[in-house]
Amino acid sequence: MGKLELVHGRARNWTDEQMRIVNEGIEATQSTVPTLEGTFDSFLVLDGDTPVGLVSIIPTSNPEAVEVGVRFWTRNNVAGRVMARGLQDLFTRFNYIIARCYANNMIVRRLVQRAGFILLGTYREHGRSLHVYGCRKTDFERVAPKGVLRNG
Amino acid sequence: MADMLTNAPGEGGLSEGGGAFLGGAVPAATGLFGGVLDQAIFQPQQNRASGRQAAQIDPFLDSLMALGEQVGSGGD
Repeated sequence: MGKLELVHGRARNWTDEQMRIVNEGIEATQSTVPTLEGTFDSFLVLDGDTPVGLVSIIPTSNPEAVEVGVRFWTRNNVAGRVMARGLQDLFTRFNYIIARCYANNMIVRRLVQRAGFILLGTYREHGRSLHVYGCRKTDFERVAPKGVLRNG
Repeated sequence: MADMLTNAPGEGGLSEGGGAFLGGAVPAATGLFGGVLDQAIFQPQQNRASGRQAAQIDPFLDSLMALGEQVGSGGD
């Protein structure tokens, strides 16, 4: 495993191979994550030079809160570390973070739960059940594994 | 161009579900959100959730913030 980074999608010129991996990853995970609306920023999750996921950040109507969208197309232990490290940075700027996922997406559910998110409720959209999770800065600081944050 | 990553200038680049990257310069080589948020996310006129998405999220956000108040007001 290489160095982990989250890099803004416009921060670099991506190679054809990186673009292929990302676009195939997006296609492969298309039905596994709720559709985000509006205009937002997306960051590539890089394992060395290899894109392994995508994290998007969407403002909410409350300036203290943002929503994060997460999708990963590799199964390894990278996701938790990147999530924790990214959240640590976000919580220096916001007090509340919201994340939504499909109820049957156990990978993302476990990911956000391990990061200290609690289930706030569910709703249905287009016939599918969605979970809405939330995390307060204080909860994240208590729950997030210190080793992850030190080494992430 | 939704849901495709490109290097083409002005096309919006990578997006999810119809969203798009912001235009304008972004510092090179960021790493773990560092350095780009101030320029990217703190531009509410350009970067905001849609009205429908806000309507979906707001009730849950209210619950989360209310939870914080309850916890904060407890204890002795």
